Amino acid sequence: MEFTPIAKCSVTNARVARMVLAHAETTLPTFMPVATQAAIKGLTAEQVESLGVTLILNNTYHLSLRPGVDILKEAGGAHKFEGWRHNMLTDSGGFQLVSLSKFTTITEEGALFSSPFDGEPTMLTPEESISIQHAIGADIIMQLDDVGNLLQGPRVQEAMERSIRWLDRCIQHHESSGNKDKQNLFAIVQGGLDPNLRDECLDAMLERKDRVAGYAIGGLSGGEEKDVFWKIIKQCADKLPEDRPRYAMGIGFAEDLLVCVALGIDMADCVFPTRTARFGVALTHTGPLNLRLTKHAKDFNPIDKACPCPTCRDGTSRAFINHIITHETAAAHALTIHNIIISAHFLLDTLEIVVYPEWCVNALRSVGVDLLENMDVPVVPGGGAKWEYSDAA
Amino acid sequence: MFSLTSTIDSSSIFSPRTAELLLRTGKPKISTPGILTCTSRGIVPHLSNDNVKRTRAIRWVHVSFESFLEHSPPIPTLLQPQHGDKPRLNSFLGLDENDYLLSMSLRDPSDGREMPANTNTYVTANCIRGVRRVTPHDWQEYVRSLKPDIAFSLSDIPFTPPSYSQKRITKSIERSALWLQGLLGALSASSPMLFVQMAGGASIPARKAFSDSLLEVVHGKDADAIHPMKSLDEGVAGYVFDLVPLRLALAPDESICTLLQASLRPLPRTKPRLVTSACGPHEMLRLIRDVGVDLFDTQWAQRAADVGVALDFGFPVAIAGGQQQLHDLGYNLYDDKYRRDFTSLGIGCTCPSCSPYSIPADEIIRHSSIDAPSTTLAGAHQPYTKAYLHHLLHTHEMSAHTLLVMHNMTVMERFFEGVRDVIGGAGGSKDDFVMHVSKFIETYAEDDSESNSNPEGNVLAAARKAWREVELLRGKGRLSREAEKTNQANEMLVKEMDEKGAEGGVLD
Ligand SMILES: [Zn+2]
Ligand SMILES: [Zn+2]
Repeated sequence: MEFTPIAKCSVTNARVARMVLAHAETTLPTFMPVATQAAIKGLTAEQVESLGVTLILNNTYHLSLRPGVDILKEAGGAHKFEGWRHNMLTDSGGFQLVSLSKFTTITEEGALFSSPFDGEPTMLTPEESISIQHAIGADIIMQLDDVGNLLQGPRVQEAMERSIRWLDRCIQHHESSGNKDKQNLFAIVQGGLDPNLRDECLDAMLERKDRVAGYAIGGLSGGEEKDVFWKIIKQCADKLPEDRPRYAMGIGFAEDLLVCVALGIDMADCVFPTRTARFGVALTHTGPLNLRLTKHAKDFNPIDKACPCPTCRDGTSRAFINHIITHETAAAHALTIHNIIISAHFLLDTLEIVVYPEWCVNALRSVGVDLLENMDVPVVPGGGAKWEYSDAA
Repeated sequence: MFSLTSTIDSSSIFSPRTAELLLRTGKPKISTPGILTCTSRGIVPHLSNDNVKRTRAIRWVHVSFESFLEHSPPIPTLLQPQHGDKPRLNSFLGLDENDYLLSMSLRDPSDGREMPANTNTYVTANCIRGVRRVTPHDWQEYVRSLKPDIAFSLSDIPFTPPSYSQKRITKSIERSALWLQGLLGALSASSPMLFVQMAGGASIPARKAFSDSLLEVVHGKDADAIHPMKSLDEGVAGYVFDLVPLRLALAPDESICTLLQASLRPLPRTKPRLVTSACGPHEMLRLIRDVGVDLFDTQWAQRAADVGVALDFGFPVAIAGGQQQLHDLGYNLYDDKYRRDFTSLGIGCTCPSCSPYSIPADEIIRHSSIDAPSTTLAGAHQPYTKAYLHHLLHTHEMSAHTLLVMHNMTVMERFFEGVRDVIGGAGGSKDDFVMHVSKFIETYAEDDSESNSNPEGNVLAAARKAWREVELLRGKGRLSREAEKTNQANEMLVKEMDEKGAEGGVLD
């Protein structure tokens, strides 16, 4: 990996960097759409490429079940299998395992779960996770971490400490595999919502800096308070080295992206923009629009006149999307394209946002931006943008 | 205009022929025999508009208007033209008027469900909120307002249970002629071209009578209404045959070809003949060979993409003949035998799935000024493989259908290119074309499952059957899945609202 910071914001901690990986080049900060099962929902690889996306996420857990490691190896890796020419990142499979499998037990050896095929007890060890990720062949691979399922209590400390030990096993396995020049291993900072544990984890992982290509911040986006969320992000981003990319895992709400970038995060992923598209929701700079609502049925405006996505550029009206949304998958595709573009842009044109949730104001104050200074913008108390959720019309 | 470019047997009005349809300079030129693409609710299923543009086989798009009847007045008619007299339908659908030919009928020609009877004053049509009555005057207004390039006249084609009485058939052809006359009178010269849906059902005399009524010189008050035209046929640019109602009305010993011939025999041979809902290349070839049909919709090929079938056939037949077993018209990619098949869907296919292409670097959307085009990409795009499509189908990834539609449409277009080449080719004789049709029929298994007791006999029928079973297993069809998604969406939004502490009630 070649990682070159190019510019730093004079006010916030936001930075711009170039990251050259085995397949392509990616400009950071970037938002990564999620191709869980080797496809971004409904789109083709060329379509995703045309949107200026240069880094996507594939899920290790799903791909190891279907099509399976053997097929991926025969195909020559996931890039070739799914026709993706740019960069790819895979997770370790651990998080999906814990959230999707009912009988997962974490032991020092690894994560014990019952196979979805035959119910047999199966072990995902750090070494196994890395081996699967080698077969998938992503440009960035993640260590297996102990995600636990609690955000407080003694389990958090145990999980954090185990994640460090597992990082060592992942490094060991990765370095001895001969894939180190093509694939880059990221460490995952754990420690829950406890700043002391986070600090301890950061210290330990920074000691291993020469053997990891980048750092991810895990264990967030689990419904924690926004004021806790941004403080943890800031604590980690401040301490992580300048010459390594920083990745906030599972962050994808518009304001979250904005705040993360201002705090010095380079990469984020989330299924939210693509999933919400399938439910008829278009993200805009002024908040989400639920295009299933009858009130959009006669609205001939595009979703967002300034948006450069093919859907808006074509002038596809809100009325037309309202007409097709619950009936035709192509409506979801049109919105998916739009939401990916909006999410990508959120990372960069931070000041165009019109409605600020109060927590954003506080978070950005911590890095020297007063959103309210010289500006007449509405502040929404509490958590976030307004949602259109029902059709009372 | 429709210009015949070659006819292989000029003594027969039913001869296979090639032609070009060009509505005006700047519009796409349609070569015939050729295809039009079906839509559902105004869109090509599975394709967002950028993928429609990537599929060069899609040039003529047909819209069934009835889905818009759920609002009154229908939403597209409310669109204010922003740039002069731009056609509303093009604007609403986001299809550039210079790149696409749009045709519009009231009913979805592939929908053969039973409907309440039409009357002297209205036709019944289907929309998501139930049955709607559409008067001939309504239809005139919709056509005038939306300005498709080609409008189908409103015909009285019954979707009530057969068999129809003589009286009913007579009524049907009288009404159809009367409504056509009304539409002709209501439209000005710059209006859409009119194609007429040929009435008369499965009755040969009735079909002939309808055609005759088009040719009759109109007298009296009616003549003033359509002046300067002397007969209805003068205002008709093409003839449409909907096969779904014909199949429903057909007696076992009758053939569709005979019925189409009965309609066309009295009429001028210089106008395009369009068939909807043909069941695959075998039926299309027979209709070209025996009736001289010019245009087909691709409902069949699009439906194949819905059930996971990648088409693979060509004309003239390129594979060696003489085999015992008939070849399949495509691959049921859901089948486990494609799990590790890393070949493309079709050799030499130019579709976006088999020949994916990169859009030029300067057209890729950039997200910041330093987002430089990447120059280090490892090689060109490779075709998508059967193994990948198999995986997408098994994981219920919608991208499978996106890739399949683009491919199947392209296979159809290339098939018709081959048909045109044989009909119009140098030294092409009727025998030549007939021989190639026979060879095609002898080489490929026909998709005639709808009337066949052994649906395992062809890969498409097997795929449709398997697909239905999968849907049943999953306990829901596409629509109810969508409904479930909608409920999930509502729940999710409510939950997120709660989490975010936003205000209740209808927002925005
Ligand atoms: Zn857009
Ligand atoms: Zn193809």
